[in-house]
Amino acid sequence: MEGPPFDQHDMETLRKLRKDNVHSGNWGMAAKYARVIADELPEDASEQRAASEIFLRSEEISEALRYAQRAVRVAPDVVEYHLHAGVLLNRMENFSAAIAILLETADLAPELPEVYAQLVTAFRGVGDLVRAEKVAQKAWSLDPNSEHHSYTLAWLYEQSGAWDDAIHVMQTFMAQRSEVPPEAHRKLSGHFMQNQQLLAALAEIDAAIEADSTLAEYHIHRSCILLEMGEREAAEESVSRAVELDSNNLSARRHLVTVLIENGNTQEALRRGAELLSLRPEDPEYASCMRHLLDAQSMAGTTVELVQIAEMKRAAPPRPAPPRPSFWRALNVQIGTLFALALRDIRSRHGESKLSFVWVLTEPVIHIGVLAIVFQYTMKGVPPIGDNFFLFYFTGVLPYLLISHLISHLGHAVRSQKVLMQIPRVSPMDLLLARVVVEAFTTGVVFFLFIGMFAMTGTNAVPPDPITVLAGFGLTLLLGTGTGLIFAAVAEFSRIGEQISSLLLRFLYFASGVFYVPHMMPLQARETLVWNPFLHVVDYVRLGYFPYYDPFWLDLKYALTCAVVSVVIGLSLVTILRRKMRMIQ
Amino acid sequence: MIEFERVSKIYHTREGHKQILSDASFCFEAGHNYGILGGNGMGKSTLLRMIAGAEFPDAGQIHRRARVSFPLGFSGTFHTHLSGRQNANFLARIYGVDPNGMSEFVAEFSELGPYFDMPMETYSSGMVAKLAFGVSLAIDFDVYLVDEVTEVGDARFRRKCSEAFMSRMSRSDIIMVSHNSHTIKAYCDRGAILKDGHLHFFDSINEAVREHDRMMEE
Repeated sequence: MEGPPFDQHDMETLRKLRKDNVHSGNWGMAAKYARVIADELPEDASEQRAASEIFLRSEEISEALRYAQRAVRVAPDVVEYHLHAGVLLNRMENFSAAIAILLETADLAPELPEVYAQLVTAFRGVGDLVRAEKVAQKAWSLDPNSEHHSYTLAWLYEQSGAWDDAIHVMQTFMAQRSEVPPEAHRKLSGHFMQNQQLLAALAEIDAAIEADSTLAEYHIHRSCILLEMGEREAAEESVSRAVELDSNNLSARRHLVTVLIENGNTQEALRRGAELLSLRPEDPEYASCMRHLLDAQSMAGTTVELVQIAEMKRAAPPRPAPPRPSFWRALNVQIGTLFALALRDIRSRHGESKLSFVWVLTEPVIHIGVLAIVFQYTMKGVPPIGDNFFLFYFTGVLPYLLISHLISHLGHAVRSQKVLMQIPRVSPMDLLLARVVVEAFTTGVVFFLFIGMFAMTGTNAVPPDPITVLAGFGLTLLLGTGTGLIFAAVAEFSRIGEQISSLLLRFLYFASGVFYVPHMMPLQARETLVWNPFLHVVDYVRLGYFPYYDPFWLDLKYALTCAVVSVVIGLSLVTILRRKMRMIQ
Repeated sequence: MIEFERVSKIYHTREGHKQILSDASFCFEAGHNYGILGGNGMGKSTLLRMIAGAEFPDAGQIHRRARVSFPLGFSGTFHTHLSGRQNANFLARIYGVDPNGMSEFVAEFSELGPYFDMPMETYSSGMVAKLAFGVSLAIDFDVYLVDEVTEVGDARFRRKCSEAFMSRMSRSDIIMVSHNSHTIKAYCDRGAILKDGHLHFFDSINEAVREHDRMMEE
């Protein structure tokens, strides 16, 4: 701002312009003129001080400080200039510089309370609460009637835990006043509360509210006291009043959440907490409050209830150990388990469809139909036994399908249902036996459906010797189960079991007299084939249907021995491997 | 009471063998809820499966004089082609519970509405979890096994779950595995730490959690 020198006349004009702008509150313009004047008259302390004041008003604090310091330099014995510089330094939070200049000021005017008050601010700013307390005492002793000095000193006492002293300061101050400001009651109430004099605290805050009932903060404080006293409902009432008075007061709303939690009203607390967080999503305290609430919510106040639960457990008589299961009970459980597994197996295979048994029939119907129609032509209309191609192939295909299903389904029963091994009550053997039950049941159903279908075409398919047929199917079931169990054991080690079993089934189809009778074979071939136990069981079923059929090669003892041996081997292998079969990996 | 008598268990993984228990004998007493702590890969879940009886020890014996649940909320045994009701009834039959009572309880508790009778392949994962939780609660186990508490559904449903679970706890015990010491503290009164092939027991859960935290820091 270098410009031509101003003469006396110009200076008057500038002062007038500055004054006009000050009057109209135009601080920015006023500051410009003030700067010109102060720079033009650097030895005039009062002009420096005036410029500082105007810069302060226009919020240019650092400029204000510059001119305040010039004023001090020009007139080092004026107390007010010192104090003003100290105030500005405090305001700029340059506390150590403030302390230096304010201590000088105190030397100049040891009886001025305002200086000590500023020193309190500066000492607090550098964190020296001990010296802050000392200067606050000085300020208060000089002017015990001042609200500000009293509050400050009481606050400092409170900080150092000297609640009695804080209360004393406030009471002395209030005793001197004919009309006590409500804020003094509020402060005293706070000190009483710190000192655990809750009733006195309540009396003071009530006095404050009586004087001014519009301040939300008073109601919040009252609620805190009541909460401390255990008057939770009254506390909720008070804080609700605060929220009513000032719905924008977030600390009132935050406190309401606390009170609601204390009152066990978690739902409402959650709602209020969520509102709060939506207003201030970035506030970490609200977020952690909400997290805490949700935790508490999901555990339903476990800390409290857990004590009760532990007590209840101790009080309750010990649970009786489950009785050692009797044989019948064990059998009952075993049957229940098999039934459950079988039902699950059937349902999961066929779903809920009413047509599911049509599906069960498809395989044998196509199988028998194709064989019957093809051989009807190739064999010149005469089946190997009897007079009905369909019935003849029915007696061969049905036992074969039972064998084939047992071997292939048992082979992967455990592997495909490994998830059920997570249930300790279900053993691998249960899975296998349930499959056997399902296959036996399905074969039975298919058998009777076929008898019905034959009846509809006018053929009597009811066997003349049902006992033999039943025994034949029983033997088939036993042999198939034994073989299937062995493949189930093999499947635990290698997938090659699956390939072997499908090869074996193809072989058995041709080697078990499914679509022919061994009669038709040359002797040499038949003598090899009779080593196949499956040939015997199929023929045994056929024997029940055609009484005049004479399979002289049929060796029931051999078939039965094979069946029993295979079952024993199969069961043993599964028992030995039960741990491996249980492993889930 | 569940007693382990000189139990050894080695767990085979692709990375190699891990000794979970070596010749360890200990006992979970009735009337206490146990929280099992331990670092990752110490075999806490395997231990829980051994307690359940779903996995055998390599050596030694486990005596169970209690009806032990499958891990709470475990849904792996559900068949996706079957409806929720059929799956619930399956477990009812396995555990000797009346299937009608089971479906009534689960239908009410799990809040699946018409989905209860639809194949489970139409379920959302939340619905599956609700069903699993309902089924676990419908069977009156002496000991419930919990492998990490899984949060199910909205806040209201979670509250319902924990309330039901809490009321069940007055009769039944819990053995729980969790990474969250907060949860363990909330449910358990005793603690154990699985480390180096042994299960170290603590009479107070707080002590166990402190010790575990200390170990984790090392």
